[in-house]
Amino acid sequence: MKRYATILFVLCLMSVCRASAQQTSKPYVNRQALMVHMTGLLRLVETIPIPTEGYIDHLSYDLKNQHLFISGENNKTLVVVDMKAGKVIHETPLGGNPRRPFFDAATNELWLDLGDNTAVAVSGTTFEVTKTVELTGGKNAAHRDPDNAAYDPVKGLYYVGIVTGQGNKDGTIEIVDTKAAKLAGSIKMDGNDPAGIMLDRAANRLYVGHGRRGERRERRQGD
Amino acid sequence: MWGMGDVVNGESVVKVIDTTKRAVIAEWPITGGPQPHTAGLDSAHHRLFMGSRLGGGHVVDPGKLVIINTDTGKVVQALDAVGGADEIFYDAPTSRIYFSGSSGTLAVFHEDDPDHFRMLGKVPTGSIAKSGVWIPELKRYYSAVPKHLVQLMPTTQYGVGDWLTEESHLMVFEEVP
Repeated sequence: MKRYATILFVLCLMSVCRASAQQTSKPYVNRQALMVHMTGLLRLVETIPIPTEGYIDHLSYDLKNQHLFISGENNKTLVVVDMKAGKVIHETPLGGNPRRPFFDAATNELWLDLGDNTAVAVSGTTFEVTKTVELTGGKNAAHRDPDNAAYDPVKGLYYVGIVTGQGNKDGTIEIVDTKAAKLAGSIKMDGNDPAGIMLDRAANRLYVGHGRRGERRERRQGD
Repeated sequence: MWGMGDVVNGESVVKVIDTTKRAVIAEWPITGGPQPHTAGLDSAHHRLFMGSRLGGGHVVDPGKLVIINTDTGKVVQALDAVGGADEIFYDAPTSRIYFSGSSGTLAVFHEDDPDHFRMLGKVPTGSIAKSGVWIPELKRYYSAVPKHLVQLMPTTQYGVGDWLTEESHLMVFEEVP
């Protein structure tokens, strides 16, 4: 019996030593960009605390009133910062995760797309949602996730890229007429991830980055 | 790791939409940029800037800046950039391109001429600070840094459980001419 106990003790000791060796030999993976020498490009002049938790998506601004709009993607809020005062002055709760906002000074409206498959207008004065446009498939449509976007301030058209699930081909560019606050069209993209959207007004073109057959995984928060 | 943009077959492309016809009229290969996620434009010189991620994640460094001639659809240059590409802004007065991603820096490129681009340097921002905005009228860049944990390098003094919490904040940068 004593002999068996000794053998068991030795086996346990070996196991602990092996586990310890595995832990210490695991290589450290640096996923941070290496620092490089940099001077004379941009100068940090201010830091401003903001109340978001989790991922933040894109920003826009109202130059006249010095307001900065931040998509609090994870919090489902629009955060408004007074750039002159350097502080947050408002948070607007939203129905879905906000993504790509554009402020239009001519209409005093901020348009942004939400993860619940809608696009909304927010007043540049009250910061409240004033208009809601459901995108193709309707609000909360399955496998339809608005993400990147572009805005034409002259025509008042808001182009929203809809990401769909892996293996699908039904991604679209939605066209929202912001003057009429209605869906004006939908362009089929034969893929599931229209991303990197850029309007070229002079050429009457919209450029949309896309993986040809491949297809990305489901969009996740923070993309 | 956040999964995204995994191109498993074929190459990535720019799909060109005619906004009058509301239809795709051309496709241009984005050679060297497999996971396009953001874009910028120098409309005067007809150059499109596609920001691409590599390796399927937000924090895989480097990313790529692919410059495309919008007259021909051909790639002019493909340069290393920052990982987790998310924003590109072109500033015409300085011929600079600001390229931000999730891997902790903002890359600044210069357009020497429409066929030659180079990186001037990288400005440290914050972890996962992928989103920001260049405001040309103010000559300022606002970088949004989400709340995150900074794991201290395990040593004899610090262990795996030792980290700092960095709260969400904006970093405001001014252009240095």
